[in-house]
Amino acid sequence: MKTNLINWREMPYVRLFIPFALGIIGTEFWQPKSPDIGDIILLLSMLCIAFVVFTKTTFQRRWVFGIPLSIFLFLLGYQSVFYHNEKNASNHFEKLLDENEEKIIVGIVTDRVEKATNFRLTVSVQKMGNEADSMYDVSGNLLVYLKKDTLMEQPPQYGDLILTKGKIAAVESPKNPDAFDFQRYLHFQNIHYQSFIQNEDIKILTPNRANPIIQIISHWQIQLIEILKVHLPTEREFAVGSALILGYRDAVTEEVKDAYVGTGSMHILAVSGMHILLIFNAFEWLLSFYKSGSRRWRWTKALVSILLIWIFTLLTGAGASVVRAAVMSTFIALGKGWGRHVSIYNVLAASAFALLFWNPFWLFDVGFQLSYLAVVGIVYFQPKIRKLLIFNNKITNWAWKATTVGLSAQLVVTPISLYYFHQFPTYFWLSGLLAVPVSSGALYSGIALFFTSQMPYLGAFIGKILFCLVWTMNEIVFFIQKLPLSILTGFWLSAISVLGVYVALVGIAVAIKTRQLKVLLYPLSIATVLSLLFAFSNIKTMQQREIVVYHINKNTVIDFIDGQKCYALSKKYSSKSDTANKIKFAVENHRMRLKINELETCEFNVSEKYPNFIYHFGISQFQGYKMAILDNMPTNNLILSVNTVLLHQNARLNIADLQQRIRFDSVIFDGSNARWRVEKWKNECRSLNISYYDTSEKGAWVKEL
Amino acid sequence: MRNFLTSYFYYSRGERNGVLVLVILSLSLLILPKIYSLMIKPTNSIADFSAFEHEIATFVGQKAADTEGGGFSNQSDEPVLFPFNPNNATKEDLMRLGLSPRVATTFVHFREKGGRFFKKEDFKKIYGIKESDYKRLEDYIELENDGAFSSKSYDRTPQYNQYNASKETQRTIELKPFDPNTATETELLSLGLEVRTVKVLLKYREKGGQFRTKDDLKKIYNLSDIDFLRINSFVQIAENQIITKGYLPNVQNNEAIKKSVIQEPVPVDLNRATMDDLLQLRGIGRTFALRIIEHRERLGGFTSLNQLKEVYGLPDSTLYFVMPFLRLISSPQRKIKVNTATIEELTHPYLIRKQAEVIVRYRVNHGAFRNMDDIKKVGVLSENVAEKLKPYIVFD
Repeated sequence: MKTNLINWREMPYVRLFIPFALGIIGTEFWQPKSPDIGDIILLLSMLCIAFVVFTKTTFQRRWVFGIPLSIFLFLLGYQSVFYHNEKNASNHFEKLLDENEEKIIVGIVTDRVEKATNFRLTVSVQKMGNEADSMYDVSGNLLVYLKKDTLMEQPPQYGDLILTKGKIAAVESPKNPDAFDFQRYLHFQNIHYQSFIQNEDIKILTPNRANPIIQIISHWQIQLIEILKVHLPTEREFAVGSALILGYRDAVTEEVKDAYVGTGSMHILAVSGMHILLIFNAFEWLLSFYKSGSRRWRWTKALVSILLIWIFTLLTGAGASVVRAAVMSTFIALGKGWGRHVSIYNVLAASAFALLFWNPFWLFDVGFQLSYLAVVGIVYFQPKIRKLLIFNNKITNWAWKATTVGLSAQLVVTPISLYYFHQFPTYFWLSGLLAVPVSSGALYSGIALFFTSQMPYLGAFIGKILFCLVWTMNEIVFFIQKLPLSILTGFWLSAISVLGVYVALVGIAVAIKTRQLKVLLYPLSIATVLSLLFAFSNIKTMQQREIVVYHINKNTVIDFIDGQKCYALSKKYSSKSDTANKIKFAVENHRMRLKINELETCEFNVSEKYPNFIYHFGISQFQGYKMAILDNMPTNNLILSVNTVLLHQNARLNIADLQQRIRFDSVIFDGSNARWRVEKWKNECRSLNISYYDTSEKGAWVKEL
Repeated sequence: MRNFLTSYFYYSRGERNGVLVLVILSLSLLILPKIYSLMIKPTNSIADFSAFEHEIATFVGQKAADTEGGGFSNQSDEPVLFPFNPNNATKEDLMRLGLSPRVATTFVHFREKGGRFFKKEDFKKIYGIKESDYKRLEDYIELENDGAFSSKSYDRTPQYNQYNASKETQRTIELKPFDPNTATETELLSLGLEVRTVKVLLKYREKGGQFRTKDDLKKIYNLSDIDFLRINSFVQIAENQIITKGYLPNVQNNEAIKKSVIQEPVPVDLNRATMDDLLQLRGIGRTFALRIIEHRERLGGFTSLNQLKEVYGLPDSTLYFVMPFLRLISSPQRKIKVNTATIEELTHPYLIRKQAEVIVRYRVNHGAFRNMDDIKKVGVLSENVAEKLKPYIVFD
């Protein structure tokens, strides 16, 4: 292999970033109780580095410096996770918690999410205690749920100092197999505890304790939203316009979101690197009248664009994703100021390093991963793909260019987005060609509107243009969504195969670069292994047999899985009701992983017969396994014997009476039963010495046959 | 490969110096806060904190008074105890006594629904009142003429008993043959039947009920078995007197009955029927008539007689009798213009508000509906609901 395959010399930051990122990933596998040992090695390797710097090394041993440096960076990444985790702070409130004891909490609201029935506040806790005269200074984040209630005059807002009282519990791990792991998601947001609080138990001590800059920003944002409301009178256009220009997502409905996700143009709705890049380009274009390669001019341009980027960032509310994009573009701008020979990869690595040093959890953030991968994809593949076709016509050339940008980003992003979202937008290239250019027009006219809204005629005129553009973009996106096969769903990838795909992708890139056919052997062999794994898992899915009793609050869903067929017992709900969504959330991923392609839903009060599955008013047999599903005392005269009894919907019976009617080995209580009833049954089971399974304790009941 | 790795680990002199600076900087940023917290003891500005502590204490004290009236040692708002009458105390009074706003609200609701407190123990009936609350407040509860009320409250029907007793003494029982289809109130009373029973019987007849056999008397629900046996042999039913009214002629019955049909109501149009029209039908009283009319209003008119099954509580047996006398001549008057209707206008017995909201939102995003299939695409309607809803929807 040639040495100039990758020119490491021109990208020192990439070399610094790799061990650092590996260190962060390392914490996923093993985490120490105390950081002391790591700190000591960290200090030692720093001393080694210093020693190597101040001694002379021969050319043969020129690599010696890199070894302790890599160890140092690996540990730096590793330790930064430890220090970043709120639970490792010496004054985290965790140490004060007792079970079932209410705490008095004083904290600042750092985030508020409005849901259909409740508010979810993130509170940075300042003080906590049992009584007013014994309050301790503590740190840590707490998720506070408040019911939406007419009683509450003014729900706490961002920056309010609040005083409240309630029981604190750890965030629970997911109850259903393969379901979205909210605990892990919150862990990477540095939140580990939650509390459900009565609305009268909360009081705002001092409104707006946030720092003055953020106060001003939120004030601006509210004003700008008002301007948009005037010029975008229809609901849908306002929702999309405010998300596109200001990153204000509250007005975006599920329908609009589905359409944008389904057409692979979600990056239009979320303020992202794309927006920042657009502003960047517009600014460059504005200044292109003066062409000069002089150093001073380059730096002025860089600094002014950095300033603009940050003003835009602050205007849009400075959400984590926007700040990340801004940091990335700041580094790119600085790179441009530095000179043309600066490698873009170096600049990207430097920005990623800085971001991860600030918050190492971002490495696990979907948005972070997607934006960096997309940028790398565009930088590396876009020029190469673009060269494949050359058009003389200006318009086709421009269209080809726009398509290649989307194509190269999608190429790199696809494996990971399949891993997270399990779906693939078929017409991403079409929306990239049609909707994205319109969206940049909308962004420019939106920003122009903010400056001209006070002017009598011009403001109204630009407002009209903005409305037309946003409307057109919506129509395009909704049109693309309606095309046949617009979204392919049901992908389920394991982390290993995603990694495999990326290794293979790198292999292909190397083969293209070196133009050696034998290099293709590596990606091809990986592809072979992956397809073998795929074939094996497919064979496995055809033979799988299992019964799953999901844990869903106030509902019962039971899946009998026979190969790729699934017989589900559940009440029927109209497809868009809240309950249906709740059920979908609980069961969807598991069915997707098992590659279910045929679904039969039965209600509880029916009698059905299928090849391997019989259900008759509460009594079921699947293969050889018998299960009684009871919401009432059975009225049979003969004694029935089954393997398991599932009690659901608050069945009005007690276990001892049930034993008179049915012979069973074990009993299951699912999430549709009230807590107190389950506790009663459990006590009864303990005294009768019957084994039981409570889904609210151990999660869904899964029985493989 | 060796070269590849060597070049990976190689840093130029300038880079090495730069890296050293970076290393020291990052390490100090990581570890310094920890060392800092070890070295420096946090100091609170005392004045600031005491004010803050006071603020918390007030909050907690107020909370404690709200919920339990105890539990925290340092309450600032002690509940005030004063004599009160639970039948007219205001919400504020109750809260001053140390009840939480929630319980006080329950209290007021209880009274609004017609609840009364007759004796002190009734106080405990309010959901949310704890034993400790009751003990604390017991001595302060003042009810208007305490004793009198408490004795009455147990006896739910004192007037009735008195009335009954007086009648009983005046009445002389005289058994003689009678026809339950025509007998007057006094005749029935003289048989020794209870006033209640007689009333029910008369009402049964008013509604068109008839006695065709002796056993039909048992239909009168509060006629006791003893009374039935007593009067059984005196019952004489005149066959030709039987009137069939709002009543499906029974094929099995003899010809006489068929001939005796004097008055058969003309079939009425269900969509035009007035309250009085409906009352003519057997088994439909004021309540059902009202419910039918209300259901019609909500639907915007019936499209099928089968929709009567949706009327709350209307038994199938009644429906069976009533159906032959009903017709559907006019079509529904009120239809929903699905492409212009607001959420409120869309809401319908077959379409709850949530579904209406989804449909309106879908319409905003996808434009006007052209036919029923377009609406089904929204995905909130099941097949048979869509079918039922169809006649009520216009597209224009």
